[in-house]
Amino acid sequence: MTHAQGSASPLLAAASAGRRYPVAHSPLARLFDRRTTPALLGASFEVQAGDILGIVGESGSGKSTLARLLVGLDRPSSGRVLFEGRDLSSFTAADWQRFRNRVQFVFQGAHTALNPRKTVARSLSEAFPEPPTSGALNALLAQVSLGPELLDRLPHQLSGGQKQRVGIARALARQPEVLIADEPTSALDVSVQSEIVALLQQLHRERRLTLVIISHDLGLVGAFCDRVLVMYAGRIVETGPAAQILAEPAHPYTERLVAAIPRGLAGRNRQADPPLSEAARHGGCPFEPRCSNRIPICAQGEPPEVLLGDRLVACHLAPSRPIIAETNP
Amino acid sequence: MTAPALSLSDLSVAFGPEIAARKVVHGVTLQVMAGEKLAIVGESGSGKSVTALAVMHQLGRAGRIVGGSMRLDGEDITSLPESACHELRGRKVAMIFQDPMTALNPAFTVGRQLVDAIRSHDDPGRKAAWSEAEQLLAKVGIDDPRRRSGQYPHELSGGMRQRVLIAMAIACRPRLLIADEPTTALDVTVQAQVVALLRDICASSGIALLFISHNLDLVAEFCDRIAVMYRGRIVESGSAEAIFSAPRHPYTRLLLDAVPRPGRPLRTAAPAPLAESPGEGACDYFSRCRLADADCHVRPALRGAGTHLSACWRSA
Ligand SMILES: Nc1ncnc2c1ncn2[C@@H]1O[C@H](COP(=O)(O)OP(=O)(O)OP(=O)(O)O)[C@@H](O)[C@H]1O
Ligand SMILES: Nc1ncnc2c1ncn2[C@@H]1O[C@H](COP(=O)(O)OP(=O)(O)OP(=O)(O)O)[C@@H](O)[C@H]1O
Ligand code: SF4
Ligand code: SF4
Ligand SMILES: [Mg+2]
Ligand SMILES: [Mg+2]
Repeated sequence: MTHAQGSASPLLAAASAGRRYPVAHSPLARLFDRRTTPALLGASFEVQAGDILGIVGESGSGKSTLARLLVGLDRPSSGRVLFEGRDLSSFTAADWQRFRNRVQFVFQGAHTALNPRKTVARSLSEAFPEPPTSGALNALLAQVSLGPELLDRLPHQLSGGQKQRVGIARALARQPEVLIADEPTSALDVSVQSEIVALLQQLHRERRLTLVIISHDLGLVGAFCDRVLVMYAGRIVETGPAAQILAEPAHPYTERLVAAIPRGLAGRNRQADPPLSEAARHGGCPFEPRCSNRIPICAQGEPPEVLLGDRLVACHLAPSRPIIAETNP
Repeated sequence: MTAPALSLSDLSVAFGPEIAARKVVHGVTLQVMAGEKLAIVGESGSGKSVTALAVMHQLGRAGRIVGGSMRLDGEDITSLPESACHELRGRKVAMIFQDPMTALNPAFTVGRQLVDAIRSHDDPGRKAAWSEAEQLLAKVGIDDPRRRSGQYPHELSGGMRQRVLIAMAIACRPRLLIADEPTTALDVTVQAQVVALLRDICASSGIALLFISHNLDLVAEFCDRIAVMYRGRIVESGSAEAIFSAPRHPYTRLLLDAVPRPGRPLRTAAPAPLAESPGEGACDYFSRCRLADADCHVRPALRGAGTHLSACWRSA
């Protein structure tokens, strides 16, 4: 893997990357049922070195699928994923080795990510390139606000948030240049979460750590990330500056999402949107069955991505919505 | 007055062999009335889940109750034989977890799993159980319950799976429903729907809800009362209004300040120093507290006038 010196290649990029999964869920059933459903439909975006990118969106919209493609844990069934301009599918074993040293992943759901039979000490030690000293182990744990008394424990002897922090510590052990983290702080209280965010900010400042954070916490993403991708039904429906998009969403789905953020005492007895039947996957806009702004063409053609100021928005109405003109004069 | 649906008094839980036992829950006292929604929030690792598992009698082999008592509808459930534990779970107390996928069996349709849950207590017969299952799915807001009940867990979205689990949990009309971070894995629109569903269930069937969460803005929206835990103890409790509009304990204030909200800068902080506290008997928050003084070498009890209680010498 050559370092692309000063070239125009972004650090990480997805070019129409898509992924389909078989409908049948056992290998045997797959022999008879060859149907597939799309989890991700042609996502394109770039991550520059030093970026902090957030990914938010509907449950099941393909965020984790996208993350797995970015770190090479899964292959796109269409399109490409590029690291420093090179297609991951052309990587040799040696390339993968170097890639793993530079790019680390924190899995969603810490309970599934840790080996149930390995103590914390062992899981963490194995993450270092060489066997660490006990001082190094303790220091790593302290970074994620955990004490050395946890070293001898097995995962089932930890609380949810303790497991999650062991997962983060493990990813940081190799001092990666890129960290892709799938809901890394969902099981933490907000005070410990703020400590983890402070740690990531420090690594970003000092080592120019590049971050891709998937989260359902829009407050966190709005305040911590530079840019955000909003996903719905396997597509990126809006991207651009995070704080701006969450303050003034342009896509009707983003708007719906922002409106559902809990509001504390001010939101007491607020009514939730009634649950709607799932989006029918016809030829139109995927959000059409739930969209209160829809117009006739929405059911006919999938909306193109329109560039509006700093944002890309996939909505037929986007160009005519006043909000964009205001935020991007 | 009727007895609370759940009442814990001075409950303590420890893990490990008798000689090297480590206490992780220290004297927790709380009540939840029928139809009431109590939230437990607080530090990661402070004993929220362990408290819930103690009520379920699911502490595992290494964990046990080492002090205090638990009552359900006035009946002592502190120590029960194994057969009574089975009766308790599902019938009187049900629990839903953060990850609905791990709680469902991927090899069976959701209808089948729901029917099994219904038939495991008071079997009404196969046919009646199926129609009850469909009614339950409709009740938790799943449309086309007949078609859905024939689907496997992986064919449902995360929000729908969580609804199925709620349907299973209420199938046996428990007195108490415990939800341990049930919406953490869901997007905010689905989260709002699940919470609205839980609110309706409590209001219409008088089920008491114990809701464990890290999402303070969410619990402020829909719970009646809040208990804040720190290092195995409740350090503040009161109505949602009281806790969120006039928090008393310095730890509660720290938490409320750290809530990330769009449009306000993040409060980030370096890890708290793992500084020595002045001794076993001191306030647990001592090493992080800016208000600490010599009084705090003795741990304060939960106290206060009325229903808003706080365990801090400098505020009550
Ligand atoms: N290995 C797999 N086999 C079959 N289907 C899959 C697989 N992985 C994901 N899917 C499906 O692909 C879609 C996208 O899933 P994904 O996990 O990427 O969503 P997500 O955006 O991360 O959701 P969440 O917010 O719930 O984590 C879902 O419908 C999911 O059921
Ligand atoms: N099986 C076990 N054996 C030993 N210790 C345990 C076990 N389960 C939990 N603990 C410890 O008990 C303490 C309380 O854990 P608990 O899971 O109740 O925390 P929690 O408040 O739910 O935290 P979180 O918000 O991170 O889920 C933690 O310090 C944890 O490490
Ligand atoms: S394209 Fe039409 S249906 Fe889709 S989000 Fe925009 S207005 Fe709504
Ligand atoms: S009792 Fe003292 S140390 Fe404890 S929280 Fe109150 S002021 Fe701080
Ligand atoms: Mg995911
Ligand atoms: Mg827990």
